[in-house]
Formats: sequence, C-alpha cells, structure tokens
Amino acid sequence: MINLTFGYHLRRTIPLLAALIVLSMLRVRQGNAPAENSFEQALAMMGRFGRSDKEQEDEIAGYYEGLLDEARDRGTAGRGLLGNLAQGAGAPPGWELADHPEILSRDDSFLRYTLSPGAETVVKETPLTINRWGMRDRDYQQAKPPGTHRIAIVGSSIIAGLGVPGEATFEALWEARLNADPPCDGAPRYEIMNFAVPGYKITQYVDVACRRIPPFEPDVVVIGLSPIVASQDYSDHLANLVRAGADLRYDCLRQLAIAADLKRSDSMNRLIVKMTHRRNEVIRACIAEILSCTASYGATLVLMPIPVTFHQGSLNDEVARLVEELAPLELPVLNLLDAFHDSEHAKIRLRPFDNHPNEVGHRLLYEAIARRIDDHPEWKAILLGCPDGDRSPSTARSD
Amino acid sequence: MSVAERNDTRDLMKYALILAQLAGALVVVYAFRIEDTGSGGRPFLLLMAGTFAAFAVHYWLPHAWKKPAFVIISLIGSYALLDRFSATALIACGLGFYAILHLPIAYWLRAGIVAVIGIACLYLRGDVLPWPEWNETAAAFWPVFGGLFMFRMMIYVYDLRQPKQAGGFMDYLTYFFILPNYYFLLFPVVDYQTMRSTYYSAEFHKQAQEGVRWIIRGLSQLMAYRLIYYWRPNLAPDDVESFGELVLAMVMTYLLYLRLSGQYHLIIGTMHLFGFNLPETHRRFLLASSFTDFWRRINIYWKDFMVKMFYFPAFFRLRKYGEMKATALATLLVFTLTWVLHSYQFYWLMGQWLLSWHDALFWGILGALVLVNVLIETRARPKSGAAAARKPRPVVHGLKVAATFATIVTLWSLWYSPSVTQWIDTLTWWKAG
Repeated sequence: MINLTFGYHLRRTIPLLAALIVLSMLRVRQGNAPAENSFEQALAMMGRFGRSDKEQEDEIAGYYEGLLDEARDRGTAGRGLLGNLAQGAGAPPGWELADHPEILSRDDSFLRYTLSPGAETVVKETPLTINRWGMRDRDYQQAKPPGTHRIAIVGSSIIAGLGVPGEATFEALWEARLNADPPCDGAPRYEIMNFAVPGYKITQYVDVACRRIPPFEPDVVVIGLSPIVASQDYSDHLANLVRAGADLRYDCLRQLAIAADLKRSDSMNRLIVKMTHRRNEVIRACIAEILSCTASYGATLVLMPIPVTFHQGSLNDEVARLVEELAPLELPVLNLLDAFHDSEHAKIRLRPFDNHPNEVGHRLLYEAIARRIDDHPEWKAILLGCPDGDRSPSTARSD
Repeated sequence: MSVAERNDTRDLMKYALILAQLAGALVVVYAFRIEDTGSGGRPFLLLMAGTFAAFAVHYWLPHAWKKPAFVIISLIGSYALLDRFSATALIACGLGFYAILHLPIAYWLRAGIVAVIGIACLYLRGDVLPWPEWNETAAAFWPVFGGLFMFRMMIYVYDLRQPKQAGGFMDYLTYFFILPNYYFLLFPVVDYQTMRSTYYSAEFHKQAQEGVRWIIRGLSQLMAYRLIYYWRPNLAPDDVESFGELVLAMVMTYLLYLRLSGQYHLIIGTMHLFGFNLPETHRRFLLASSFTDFWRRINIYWKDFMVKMFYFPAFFRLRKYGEMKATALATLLVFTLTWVLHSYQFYWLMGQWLLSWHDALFWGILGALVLVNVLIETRARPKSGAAAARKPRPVVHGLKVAATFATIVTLWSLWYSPSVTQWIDTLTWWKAG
C-alpha cells in the first residue's frame, strides 16, 4: 500500500518532469537565436524575465505582480552570501572598476563622480588611460581646431569600453576609419570624443551634455541608449542626489522630484519605489533637456540604441520600445540593436562573468555604424557634416 | 516509537529516484531561468540547489536530529540570502518574541506586549525616523520581517492560549524560520498546529514524492505564467477592440494567478522534503463550481487562516442570534478583514498602504457572492438523517463551473485595473469608437 502510494505520486510526476526536461534542452539549444516559429517563440518567452512590455508601457502592475517581484527585489534576493556568490562568480580581484578607486574622482557635485583626469591603471586585465579632460579616450585640444568635425558620445560602461584596448573601442575604430577613408569629398578631419563613464544614468547624461561637453564645441552629440538606461535602477543617481540634499540643478528633475514626492529622509529603496513607475517620464524629460542644451550650442542630437551581449531579445526590445517612446521628439536614431544579431554570446563578451562587449563586440558595433552610414547616405550629412544629403531626421531612423 | 519516527524510513532506491527528479527540476530552473528577476546572479537557482543538497544530507540524519538540522539549514539560509544585519536582526527578533511569549505572566499580558511591539514595528516600517542611514539599513530588513512574522505570529499567539498547543522551542523555530521564506516573502500562511501535527505524519517517501510532484507542478505553472504574462493582451480601453479581445485579456489576467499558485506549490513541495507533510495550497481552483467552492479551493491556507482566526470566533459568539445571522455576519467580517489584511500585507512588503476603492469593491463583491452562496447552501443542507444531497448532473455542474469562472474572471479584471473608471471603460470598449 505504501509502495503503491509512492508509486502513485511518482507516476503523476514523471511524465510532466520528462516534458519539462525536453523543453529545457530545446531552450538551452535555442540560446539567443531569433525564434523562427510559434513554438520557438513560446520557448523563448518561457525563458524571459522582468516586466512585460505592457506593464513597462503602462507602468502598472497587479496586486501580486507588484508584491511577488518588487518586494523580493527590495527585501532580499541577491543581497546575502548567495547573491554575492552568484553575482561575482569567477571575477578575479581587481577586475571591477570599483577595485580601482584611483580612476574615479568622487565628490558632492551633481555627477557624484567622474573619471580622474590623467589616471592610468589596468582594469579588467587591460590598460586604461584617462585623458586630461576625464575621458576614456586619446588626448584632444579643448577648442575645436579649424576644419574639424567633432562628435561627442555620451553613455555608460558599454561605450566606455573598459576591458578593451583604447584603440579597439568602436568609437576609436570609427574615428580612425573616417580619417583614413573620408566619407565624402571635402570631408573635414574627424574627432570622436568618448564622454561615456561607467555607471552613469540618464540623469547624469543630462549634465554631461549640458555642462561638460559645450566647451569642446561638438557638431554632433550622440546619446548611447543601452538597456542600462531603462533598467530597474535607472533612478539611483537621482535618489542619491535627493538623499544627499543636493541641488537637482535642472527644472525638469526638480519638478519630477516634487511630483513623485521624493524626500530626503526616504530610504534609497523608498525613493526608487517612488520612481519605479515614472521611468519613461524621466527619460523623456532628460532627453528633452539634452535636446534643448545641444540646440543652444548648435549641435545636432542623435540617439544611438546599443545592444547588450546577453538576453538580447528581451533587453534590446526594451530599448527599442524606449526609442519609440521618444519618437515625438523627432530625433535621428542610429540604431545598432542588431549589431550582435548573429553572434554567440560567449564570443562577444569580455568573460563568462562579465557581459560587456569585448574587442569582437566593439568591432561589430563599429561595423554596424559603418553599415548604417553606407546604407543610408543621409547619415553622412547628419553625423559627418558632409555637404550633400537629405538631413531629414525621418529618413534617418535606421531602425 | 512515535508515529513520526515510524514514518521516517530509509530506502536507497526511492531516495535515488527522488534525487534524480530534483536534479531534473534544477535543469528546468536553469534552462528557463525560473524566478530570475534579472537583478544579477542566479540566487534562486543556487537556493534550490542548496535546498536539494540539504535534503540529500538531512534524509540520512537520525530522526531526533532532523528538526534541529532543519532549523540550522534555515538559519544558514538566512545569512546566505539576506545581508548580515537583516539575518541577525531577524533571529534576535524571533528569540525576543519567544522570550516574551513564554514569560511567567498572564497570557493576555504576553499577547498584549507582542501586539504593542507589532504596532510599533508597523509605525517604524513607514521610515518615520529622521535618520536616513537607519531607514536605509532597515529598508531591506522590514519586508523579510513582515514576511516571517506578519501572519504567523498572529496564529502562534492565538494557539498559545492553550498551553498544550504551544509546542516546544524547536517547534517555534521551525515555524518561523522556514528557508524558502527568505526568498519568497509572499508566503503561504502556514498553520502552526497543522505544521506540528503533519510532521512525518505519513510514510516519508510517499510524502517526499508528493512534494516533488508539487515542485514539478509549481515549475510548470511558473512557465505557463510566463507565456500568459508576456502574451496577455493589455486590459485597457485603448487596446481592447472586440469582445473576443476583451474576453482573452480578462481570462489571461486571471490566469496570472498561476505565478502565486506555482510559487506556493514550490514552497510546500520543498517543505515536504524535510518531513512537513503540509496540505495542498490550491486545489483546481479554475474548476470551482460555486463561489464558496472557489473560496475553499484558491489559496486554501488563507481561507483556513481566516476561518480559524476570525470566522469561527465570530460565528460562535454570534450564534445566540441564530445560525443564519451568525453565518452572514462572520462571513462579512472575514471578507472585510481579508481586504484590510491584503493592504496590511502590502504595507509590510512594499512600505505603502494599498487602500483603493476598486480593491474594496473587489473584496466587497466577492464577499457578497460567497455570503449569498453560503446562505443558500446552509438552507439547502439536508437535516441529519435525511438523504445526502444528490450530486448535480454533469451538464448542470459544467454550467455552474462556467458561470463561476466567468464571474471570477470579471471580478479579477476589476482588481487588476488601475481604477474602476478604467475598468468600466475597458468593459465598454465600443464606446471608445
């Protein structure tokens, strides 16, 4: 009788378990490859996580959706030994930027930290040099030399390219090619300046575009939109400013802080909760502020969605949705989201424990830019200052 | 030899079979990134792997060591999943509550002290102290504190009225420090007496295999949930353009509940592996044939908690006014408190009260439907000695199931809508033009 009861449960478990294991094997084999039919789509969907498009768009969640994810994220998961083990698995000491305090200058300013001018070290087993202006880039004069076309890129870690030699980042490759192989007759000399700083959020982009960049007189400002911009902790910089009682500097941020009832006495978690459903609003306001700044110093603003090396489907879709959200601003969009399309995750990331793109990844990003410009000649006018071409932003939406 | 000791048997073949199935479950968790929220790392995968490994060792321990071992595994788990401050503070709070509740003073005094501490904690949960650093540190602590104590402490204090139901120190620790609770803060409201009385209450391999079955069922529900969650049409006036779309959106919104059902299956299934032969948390709730049947099948632990803590005490006090009145008033009380306690739960876990009209409307309508159903059932109940009620014909039963499902789906859509206005706008989609 006892054996029968054990067997009863066993017989009702095995078929379902066997089916789930078969699905698991198919899912593992599927990897990041795009789904070609409904079954593959369903498989990919079952392996997805994070908020759905609908909830992202509508910024709503039902009673249990809110409780099941947000409470846990805020309360526990990943904070203890297990979370640390899972998160840092395999990263050797000294790998992360945080292990190199000499590279970052921290202060109480709006940005909270910048790259230390002139610093040199080895991060992620790769030499890292910061120029005298605090850029992860070669040296430039501050004043724009005559006959030069300058492009300033704003972004965070993916664009900064830590772990990739300076001359192999997509920005450096692009600059080298433009100068070696001019895109048009009478093309100027090109300088592409990398203002990206690891960990920067959209609210910091505003300050970079409005305060750090203008003295360099760029012709074009490119905002790199990676999934980090849209991530759950998109608001932690703003929350830090509020907690520090710092001036929010920009009217749009001050208004958001009032609307979201952000208080200095709130814990970080509470501030982030208050901002959770305002992500799109914040991003829209920040990009509008950047547009206003770049217009004031006569630079063209371009959005550049960039992909991640992992879970490309869901995270890249999120960036694509974000770009749609910004469509009313009618900005040119240099879409690189398909740059890693056919690549295996393992071949384009730095290490198994570090998902930033490696040299191969940066080359793919550069090639995607070159392809876009070749396929859509109007980019030569918008981005590269070539005399001919249609400058209409609507024709320059390369998605 | 006690019943529990007799049931704690060993069988290498069954042990190996159970372990093999758990390994299979891990493959599924890995492949589909089950319960992965994308916040970095794979803590859930590691939690499951650690729990299954703990089971593999726990199985071979002498029976007398098993409860202490479960407590030790749980306490180690608290440090593995939480930051050091939160884990230590939780253990200190647990020990503090135990010391207060076992002081040699009157029961009502002990219960009163714990109630006052509970209210003070509720107040502190609102980040009311003017020290941001403290609020920062406590922000990770409060949700877990709530997850462990917000309901189970009520049950424990209630049961403590009868000294013979109090159990020992080890029972107390196993009741409050349950490993998966550090990860799943929204936890089934396990009953203290049920947890004690079902410990190795059946032959172990049978109950462990039942646990594995629920774990696998839970995983399949979580996978189905993902499909529903990502494919669900938006339940909003702008997105619904036909009756078919409306029905699909409403049904899929209701099916989102599979997430909670799946998690509860995983949790209780895991506890089976450590000897706690707890009952099912959900029983085919999609096939409920009446509102009382629905209430009995969905989140059974919640229903049992409300019945034990509020329905029965109210009913027996009110019975002098007649059985019908007592039933009606006790049912109304249960649904009013269900609404309040859902907000209380939300506050502990999220730090904000959830008191909205459509929430009250949802619980009010559901309470009224269950009440009407209860009264009809009470009237129709055969007197003692009379023949038992006839089983309804399949067609009638099918119609009842369909009607209950349709009503619950409609109500659920109200609960999930941001406001009553938006819900009405969605239901009358054709007016949007």
